[in-house]
Amino acid sequence: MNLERFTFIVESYGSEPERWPQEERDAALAFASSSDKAAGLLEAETELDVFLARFELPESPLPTISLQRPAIIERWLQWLLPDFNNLAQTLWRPTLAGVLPFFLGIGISFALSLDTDYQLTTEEEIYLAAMTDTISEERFYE
Amino acid sequence: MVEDDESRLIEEIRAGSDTAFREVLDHHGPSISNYVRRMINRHVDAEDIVQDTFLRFWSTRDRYDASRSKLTTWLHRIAHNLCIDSIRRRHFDDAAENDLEDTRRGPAEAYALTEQADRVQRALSELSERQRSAIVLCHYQQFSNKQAAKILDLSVDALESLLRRGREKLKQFLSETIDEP
Repeated sequence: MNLERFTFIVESYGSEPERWPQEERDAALAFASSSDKAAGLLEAETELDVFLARFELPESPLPTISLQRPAIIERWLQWLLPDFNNLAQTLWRPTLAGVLPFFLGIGISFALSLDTDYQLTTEEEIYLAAMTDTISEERFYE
Repeated sequence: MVEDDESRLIEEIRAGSDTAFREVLDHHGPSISNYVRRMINRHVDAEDIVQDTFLRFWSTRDRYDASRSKLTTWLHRIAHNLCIDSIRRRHFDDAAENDLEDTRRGPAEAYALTEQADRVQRALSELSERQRSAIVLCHYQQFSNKQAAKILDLSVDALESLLRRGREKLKQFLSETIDEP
């Protein structure tokens, strides 16, 4: 510590040692106690510190804050879209969303293919036959 | 607030917990409010900035990285940016709002400050916004030089220069207004 640095510290941080840079505090205190010039500098800065200390604020109530919640669709999108800082852990979400319709389709078609026990009634067969135009005119007039 | 508690709160806030957010507001609110009120003369603006600071923290909570800065540093950084925006906007609006200003002016009235405190506030208003921030952070908010430099996005050397020039200006203000109450 020398006078130049000590002057800079005091002129920047003021006369109170607790505001001085921690790593230089001990050296600055030792310098202050051994130098008359240092004592003079501290005295000169004390006036400003006393002045600044007069700026006391009355207590103020904290603001009431109502937090904005995102809409359900927005929250779903936030969940779905991966966090790029954590891609490995969140990439499964869009992947899951992508393959879900595929598995859903397989599930539905599998369920439908099992449903073969149903027998058409005679009326239903005639009705369905009437809907088709596959009977040729020759066969019709036979 | 103990570091573990803070980490737990941050996790809960990330998960969307209102209660954890209220805890952070209760703990850090007074400090942020003091910083903003020493930066901004107008009571209404200061209240809005304190509110906006916490709302912005809530909306950007996923971007906060506890390993890189303390929560108080992060919150002061948000508050600082909002103060600077407000001060700059005020410069633009001043001409248009001169009439309104007359009815709303007066930090002493707004905060019920003592005359002496009002005088300090007027002195601080004479400083550039960066000098004022540096002095408020180091002198009143008790931040270390490294933390204050981080909040202001400066090197420690640059912070010290701001502090020194700011204090020099304040001493000048003191000597010029020595006869005032």
